[in-house]
Amino acid sequence: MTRKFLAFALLTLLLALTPALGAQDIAEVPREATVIIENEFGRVAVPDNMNPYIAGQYLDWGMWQATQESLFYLNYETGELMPWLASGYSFNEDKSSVTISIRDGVKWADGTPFTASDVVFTINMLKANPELQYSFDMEQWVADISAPDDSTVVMNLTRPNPRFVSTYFGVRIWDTILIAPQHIWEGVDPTTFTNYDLEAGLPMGTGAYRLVRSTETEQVYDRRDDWWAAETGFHALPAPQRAIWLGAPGEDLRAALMSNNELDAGWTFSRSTFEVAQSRNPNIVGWTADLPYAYLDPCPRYLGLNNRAAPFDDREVRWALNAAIDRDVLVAIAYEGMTDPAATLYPTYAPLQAFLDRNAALFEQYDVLGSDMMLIDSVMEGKGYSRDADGLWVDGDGARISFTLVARSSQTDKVRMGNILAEQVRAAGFDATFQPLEDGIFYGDVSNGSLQAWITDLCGSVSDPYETFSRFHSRFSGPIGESVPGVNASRFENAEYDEVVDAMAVLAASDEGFDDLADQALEIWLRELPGIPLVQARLLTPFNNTYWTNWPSSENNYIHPGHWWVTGALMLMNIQPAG
Amino acid sequence: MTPRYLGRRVGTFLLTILVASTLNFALSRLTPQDPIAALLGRMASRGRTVENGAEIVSLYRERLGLNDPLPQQYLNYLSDLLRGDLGYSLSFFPIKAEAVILRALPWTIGLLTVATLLAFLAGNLLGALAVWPRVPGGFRWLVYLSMPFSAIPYYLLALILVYLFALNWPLFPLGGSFTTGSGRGLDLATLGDLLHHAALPVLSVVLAALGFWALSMRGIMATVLGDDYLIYARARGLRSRRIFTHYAMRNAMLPQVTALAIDFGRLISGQVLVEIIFNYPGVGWVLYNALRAADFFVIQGVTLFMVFAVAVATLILDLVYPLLDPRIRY
Repeated sequence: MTRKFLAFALLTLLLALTPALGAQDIAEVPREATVIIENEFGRVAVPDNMNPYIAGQYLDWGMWQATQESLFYLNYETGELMPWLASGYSFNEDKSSVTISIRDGVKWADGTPFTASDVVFTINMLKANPELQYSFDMEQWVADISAPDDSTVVMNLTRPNPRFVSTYFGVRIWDTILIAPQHIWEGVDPTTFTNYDLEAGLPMGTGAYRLVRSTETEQVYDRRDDWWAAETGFHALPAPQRAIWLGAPGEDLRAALMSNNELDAGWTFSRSTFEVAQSRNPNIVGWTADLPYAYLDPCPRYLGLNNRAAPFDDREVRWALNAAIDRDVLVAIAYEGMTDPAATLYPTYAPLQAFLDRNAALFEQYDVLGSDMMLIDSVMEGKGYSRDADGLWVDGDGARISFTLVARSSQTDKVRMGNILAEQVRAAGFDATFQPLEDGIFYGDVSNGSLQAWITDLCGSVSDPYETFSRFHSRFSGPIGESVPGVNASRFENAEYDEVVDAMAVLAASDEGFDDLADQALEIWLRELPGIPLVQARLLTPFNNTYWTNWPSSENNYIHPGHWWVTGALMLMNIQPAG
Repeated sequence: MTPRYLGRRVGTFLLTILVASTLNFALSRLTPQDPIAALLGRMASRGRTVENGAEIVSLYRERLGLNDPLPQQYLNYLSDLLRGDLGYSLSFFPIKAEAVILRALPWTIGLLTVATLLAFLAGNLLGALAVWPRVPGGFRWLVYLSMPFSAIPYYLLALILVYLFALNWPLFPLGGSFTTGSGRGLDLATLGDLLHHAALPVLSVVLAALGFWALSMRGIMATVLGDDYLIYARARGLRSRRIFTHYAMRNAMLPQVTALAIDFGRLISGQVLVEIIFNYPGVGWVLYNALRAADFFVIQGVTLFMVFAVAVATLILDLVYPLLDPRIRY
């Protein structure tokens, strides 16, 4: 009996895992020549599908840092939109047509030249296939596209958009539209093409690495010494011979892997975990040597309010709710002191800080950061509310202002803030409770307008104020019950605001009149306060100096430190062996 | 076994699958979650503006067949199921749900089947020996020692094992299924690496389940010990070892085997956190992510696999019972 069971158990294991045992054998590369980076999402659900245009497909497991390259990279530290596969771009006068120049000497991994035809093919493919990511964006913005010669792309836009290049081809935040090799993708169905055949060199990119193994938990890339940039002298070969993206779900496992030098670049740490990990392994470093250790994320956290449902359809009540919040407590508890309170939904990068500084007088008039119980009493009593025996506001019929604050349960900082916020607004008389929700339920409820208040973030502007303002345009709003895409889930609608934002949309930040419009929009936004800013977000991205050095830091800020972004490619190209 | 009995059991099996499939379909439609809104939300959360939200919603509803009347959706669903088509994964549209699930299935079967069988075997042996005469008294304490482990949730046990044997005394890897970046061939070194990585996950499941099997087996064996057939076997001069394995344990095992069949159904759902803690690439992780992302078709697919696993296990059990216990005749 025992022997039969053991034999059955072993046979089951072997049968089940036989495909894995023989899969993708690769050459040995010493640890000193290998950089190991964490896959933010823990693992790759479908590792034999490398189609970058599938909706919901994440590519930050090395696909877009190692094998692919962007036309441009926006460098947050210098503010420069760095040309890469492209050598530059220019708009016509009214910003309705853009000409992109393709860099000479760029080649795909199989030696085929990268040309303007590849760009034209990619955009037309996206426009023709609405199932693909970016299809709706390209269909909406690109009227027509052509390649007068191999190094020139001309895109005529459906309406002026001076931010078109940085938004879609410059890694403004996280992603970019990757260009497909026409000679590979032509003639295939792009909705079902897996773009995966290691023997045939797929996925095909222009990057310095090629994929040699892809499993659920590990993506392995080996350096290509025939990389076009090294051959043309545009950039030296990156130092790591091999780059591996590894899943490490959970902060504890991440800390353990980094402590054991099994991981060189991790996803994020809380302050306490970072300090413990650093005490075990002093080679673990953050963006700064001392507090806050972390880099400013472009997505400030805020309290979303349903502007179409009582009581938050009344701006004075929104302001009263704002006056109940003590952000210093949120910073101390949710971020362990690693960030700052936020008075707006702008990350305080240099160009945006200048915009905020210019409007200092407005922030005195609209004191977002001030906690003021007197203001709450005055507003609420003025609206006919009174406090019941529990100190909570009730209307003339005795009904309380009851609502549930929600946040995505996967977002630790927001969940931590949720409990504190609920306590704070309850102490001010609002009958609030907090509930974390699974991502799917959260997005669904926010999108259809069934929620009154939710803690979320806004990833808008990084270099000029337009993008953040645009998120509150009424074209993204809709009646309660109708699904809106989550951009303006507050359902804020203000014709005066729309007009100003529309005028900003066709101007570059350097254009005459743009600053005045931005100031006007800010005045309206602060007056109406459609959402309540809470805190800036800082992400503590840990790096390990044991095997590799020259990671980006505040002292060596050649690029922002999010290695999971497309800009992670620049990090890979600049790290150096510790030995 | 009569053909009538066989027909009745297979009929019950098919009916179970049909009812479970129908419930699976109905429950996902009753949930307040809107999977397409969730998809759009995820798009918007990464700095994208998602300009044409209404068109995207319309396209997805059309492609997913959500615009059809409910009875039509149900018929389409059953017809797709018969062809092994579980629908699109909403998280990875237009990849099919079965592609996502089938990739992960071998890992779960490999890891958890082995762990479950080992726990079953060791636990039952331990429980049976604990009450068997002439077994050293100290041995019985093993049962008591195993009890605290069964009281600790398996995921907590997993964390303790990671801390002790991967971090504090690094005898085993922290997670994953192979050494990062290692070579892989059909050879002993690769097999050894695989088993080395599977050791702690397997141990966490085995330790957590050991006490349960041992305690229940001990209880059953205690009732079997005084039975006439054992006295008769001893009187016939059979060796103690033979009596133990061929008569006592064999009779005591019947309810345990039933419990094992049900336990197999929980392979996928019951050990989700083990796969997450050890970064193991199984179906548990797929289910966990699908639940978080409201990826209905993947959730439906995994649920169906669970139902199918239990139904098949109980069907097989019904069919092999006569082999386990010759007294049973159909």
